[in-house]
Amino acid sequence: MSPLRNRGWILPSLIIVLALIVAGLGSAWAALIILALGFAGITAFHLVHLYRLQRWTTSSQEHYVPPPEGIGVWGDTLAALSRRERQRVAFQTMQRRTIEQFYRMAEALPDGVIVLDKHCRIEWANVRAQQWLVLDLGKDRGQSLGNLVRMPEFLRFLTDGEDADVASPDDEAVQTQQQELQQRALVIPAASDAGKVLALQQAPFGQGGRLLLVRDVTQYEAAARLRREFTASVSHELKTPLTVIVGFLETLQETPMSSMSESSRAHYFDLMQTQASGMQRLVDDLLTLSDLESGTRNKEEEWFATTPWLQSLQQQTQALSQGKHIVTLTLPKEETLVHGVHDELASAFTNLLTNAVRYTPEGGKIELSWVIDSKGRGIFTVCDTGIGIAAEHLPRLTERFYRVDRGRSRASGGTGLGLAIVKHVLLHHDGELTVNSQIGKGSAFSVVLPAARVRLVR
Amino acid sequence: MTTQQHMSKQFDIEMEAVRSGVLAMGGRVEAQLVRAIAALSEDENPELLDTIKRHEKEINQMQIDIDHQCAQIIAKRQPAAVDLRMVLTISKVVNDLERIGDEAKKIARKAARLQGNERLTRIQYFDAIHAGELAQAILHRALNAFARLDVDEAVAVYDADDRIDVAFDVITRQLVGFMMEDPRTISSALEVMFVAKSIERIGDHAKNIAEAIVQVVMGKDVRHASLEEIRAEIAERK
Repeated sequence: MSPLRNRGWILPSLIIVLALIVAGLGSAWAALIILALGFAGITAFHLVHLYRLQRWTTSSQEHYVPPPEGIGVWGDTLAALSRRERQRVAFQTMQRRTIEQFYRMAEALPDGVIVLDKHCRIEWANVRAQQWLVLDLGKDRGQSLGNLVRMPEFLRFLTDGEDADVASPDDEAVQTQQQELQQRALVIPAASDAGKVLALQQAPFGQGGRLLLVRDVTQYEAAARLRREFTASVSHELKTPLTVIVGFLETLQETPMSSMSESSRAHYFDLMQTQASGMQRLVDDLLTLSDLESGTRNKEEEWFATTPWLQSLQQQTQALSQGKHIVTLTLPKEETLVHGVHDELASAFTNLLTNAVRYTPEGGKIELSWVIDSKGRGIFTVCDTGIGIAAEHLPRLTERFYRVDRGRSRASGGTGLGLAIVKHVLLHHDGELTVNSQIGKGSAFSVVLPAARVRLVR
Repeated sequence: MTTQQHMSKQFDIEMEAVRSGVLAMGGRVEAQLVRAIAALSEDENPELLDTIKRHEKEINQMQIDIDHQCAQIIAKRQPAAVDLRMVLTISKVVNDLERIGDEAKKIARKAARLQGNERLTRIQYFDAIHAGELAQAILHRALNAFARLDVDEAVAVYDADDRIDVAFDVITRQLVGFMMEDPRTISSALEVMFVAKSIERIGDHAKNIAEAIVQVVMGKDVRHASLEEIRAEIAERK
């Protein structure tokens, strides 16, 4: 800056020196005129620049407009100003971009975000939060959120947050209390559409304000409900046979040995045995299902030959039917290999076969077939001449504990989990289950395995 | 000048607190109405009636508190014009809210008597349940209009109330039909009748709230004006 200060004095000092020289030469008037003219010139020079600068300052806006150019001391000053202005505009643009970026980020979140000031008034909310809580930022900015979301539990939730803010944050107990508050979520129904469930969480934000996080937990709540229902049905399924067993045990205990015939005692034990093995099957099936669902299956997938396997399945079916049904097996000419977990596929196929035996009246036919279609897919079909299934039940067949005829299923020793197991096994093997059925005529359950899992041996 | 500014700011804070109090009370009443309609449409829940009675007491206490705050504001601040209208309106709104709470309790009580009734099943008074849901929605809109001082929303409440009145007529006719078909349904049909009447009254109270809002915003008593007159008035203001 020192050259600037120096240069500013050059012209006036030159004029004064010139005037002194002229005065020294004896012409005082001439010296005065030189001084007057000189300083008038300098003043005019400055005024012109000042005028330009003033015009630029008042018109200067967000975008960068270069300041007027100048000579001498003005040139330097204006150049410095220009630099500063350029920096300011660049900084402002960057700041604006950062803010825009922040807003875009908040809008891109899958959750709703609401910023509240220290009186719980709405400062800002992203579109999602506005939709879910039916807010309109245009109208509702500055409105107390509790005035619009009036649910008593929500108001309490807001007040709880307030109390935590007031306390000093140094206190360790208060800190943990605050953390608890942040973790605790309030679950409320959404105002926007029936059935949607929202979870709200709050965190201190800015100066005494709060950040409200809104998540859509509809799916989660539905899953939780499903789990509760499943637990309830399992308990129910286990309780029914248990009641029977306990009932017989009491009878056996209370009736003196002498007054009970050997045959009725044997009959009681038989019935208890049936119920106990039913429970055992249920527990086994539950374990199989949970194993399939856990996702951490440590079972190796392998290629294995189908012919001997399917033949053994046929024999198994025959044994199960105790000669009451005709069981046939159709195989392709070539031997085939299937890639998968042998145990799991066996359990799935066995479930289909047991169902066929269970729901086909005596003298009926059960046809097993293994076909490779034109696309190379392997199709295993169990076709029976049983009682059939009405169309309305088909979509729900693979649900756990879904039964077309509850009494009949239990009487024949079904657990209600068989087809659920089939579904899960096929999920792991990229297969699908198709069912064709006609009441009174019979059903055909087909397992379709993708071409990648089936290979022909030539 | 500065003291006056200070006074008016203090007044604003007090008014805002009262307004929030009214809306908090509104939230309670809304929850109460939801419970009452649930008592009508869902299976027996023996605790529900007790819960409703407990909340009813709280709502009554809130009404007393807010009325007291209003009286204090009038005595201490002597508000004029818009401010005075607001205080008087709040007093009115609170009164209507308390009455809605009463009606909700009545509905829940009748619902408990209708539970497990075989003469008149839920399907037969489904229209009453539906009207109850309409009443829930209209109360929600009226309170939103109050929070935002939104005249358009308030006027929309008028329309909705007309629909509840129509629903009430339909329910009445249906019930008369059931009673003529089978006189054994008469006692339960009368219970449903009272439920429907309560719902219709809730609609009217919500409409009162809406009218109070129009009055406070426009400074004009619209209680006995027709909808067209009010609409014309609003259009003129804009």
